[in-house]
Amino acid sequence: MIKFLRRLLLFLLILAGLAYLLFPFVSDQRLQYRNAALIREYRHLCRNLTEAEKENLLLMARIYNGSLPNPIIRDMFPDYSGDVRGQNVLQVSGSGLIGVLEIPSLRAQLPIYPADAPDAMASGVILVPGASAPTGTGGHVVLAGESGHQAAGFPGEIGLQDGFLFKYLGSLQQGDLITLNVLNETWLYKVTGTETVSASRLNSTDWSLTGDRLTLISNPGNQRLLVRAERMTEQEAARAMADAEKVRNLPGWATVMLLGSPVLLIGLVVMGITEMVKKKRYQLPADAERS
Amino acid sequence: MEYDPVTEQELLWEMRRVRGQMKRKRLLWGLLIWAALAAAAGWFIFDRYFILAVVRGPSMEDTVQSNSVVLCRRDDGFDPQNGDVILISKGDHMSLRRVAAHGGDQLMLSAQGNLWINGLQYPADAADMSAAGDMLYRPVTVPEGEYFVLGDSPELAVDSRSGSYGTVKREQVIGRLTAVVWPPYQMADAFNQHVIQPVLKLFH
Repeated sequence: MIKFLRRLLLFLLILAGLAYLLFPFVSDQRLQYRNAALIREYRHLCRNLTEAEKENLLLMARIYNGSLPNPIIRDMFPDYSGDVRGQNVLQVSGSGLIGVLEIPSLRAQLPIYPADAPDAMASGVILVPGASAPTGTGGHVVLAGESGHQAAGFPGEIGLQDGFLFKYLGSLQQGDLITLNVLNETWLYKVTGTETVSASRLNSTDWSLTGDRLTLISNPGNQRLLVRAERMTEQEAARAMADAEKVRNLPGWATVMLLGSPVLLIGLVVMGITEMVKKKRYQLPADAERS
Repeated sequence: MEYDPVTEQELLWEMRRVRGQMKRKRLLWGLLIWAALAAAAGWFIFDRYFILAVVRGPSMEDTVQSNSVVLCRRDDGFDPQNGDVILISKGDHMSLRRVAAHGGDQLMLSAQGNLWINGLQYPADAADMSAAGDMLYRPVTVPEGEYFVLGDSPELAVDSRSGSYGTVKREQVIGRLTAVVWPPYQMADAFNQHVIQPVLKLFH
């Protein structure tokens, strides 16, 4: 009985350890699955718009951009509580999304929400009020996302995070590709630099609406990480799109291991069953009495 | 020389020790043999039948998301049919596209963006179809032995509508898609489609 309880306790400890280690990965997969479904639905809704409807939405967004005063960018973490009027000009009816942000080098594909969408930064990024809405005709688009969102309930209380989101934003290098997909129009940006400022000094950095720029903001600790990007020229964009399209074989050794793993699994099961049978059949008399 | 008689307890311990030793040896050998068998099976399957590839890019976004791992059947002389998703190698560049038309088919992309194949309209959104190509608005016939391919997300795809990509020759087809095996939720879909559903069909 004591031996059984000891084994049970050891098993539960190992299970708890594995659950703790695998929680971020599993919750990120769950988040990606949910986001993939939302993005598919958004693209499907965009496909159903007529050209006139799309042009109308983009025109409203350009009018909104034209009406922006000198931008005042307030800290948007943990939640934004300022004026968000006009932000939903690009929202397609039936979808809560404004667009889709993709960062191929981080394998990130995130929905873009208006700043007042509930729990927006738990699963995506927000369009920061005061900066331009994305229209593909210039301006300074600013998107903010959390570098890891605290999980709900007990996992959050022990420090576990729900999804990777902007966790690895700091690893972006100069020249890395970022794409914005709005109303099924795709605009490509290249990273020009990064900077880190404190939350209180966020408004004193460069937020001018000139040029055709994109800034991503995340919140590692008490700092604010800013990734600056510029719109690519058409030739650069065509080359980047062609380069981004890649299918490559997994290395041979990885393929052999993965394709052979079902055989190994079967072998482990066979060995396990054989050992169990042997143990029962060839038990020592003293052990048999004890059990 | 005198020896202390062995007690029953000591005999039992020694028997357990030897059994444990034999068990460990047996498990180690078993593991090595099964690992060798697994490697041989994996190599055989890889060499003859399947390859695993990582897909990057948005052209097939509706079917295969970027950064997915796909299982593809190697080219065994199959004849790609309309609707098949094939693995293409052009120069040093590989891509995954769906066959929309083959040799002898007549195509036309209208100014409104509707793609017509042999007089039948291809089921895709007109705005998306005209978005990413420089295909001229006149009838073209797909050359014999070649295929006209499209991405499943035509508004984002680089495919045969574009002059730089063009049609695909038969020798450039190196495989066809069998299943998406990563990320896990796509693997679950593939497992359901290729394993669970066929088994359930046996009982109907």
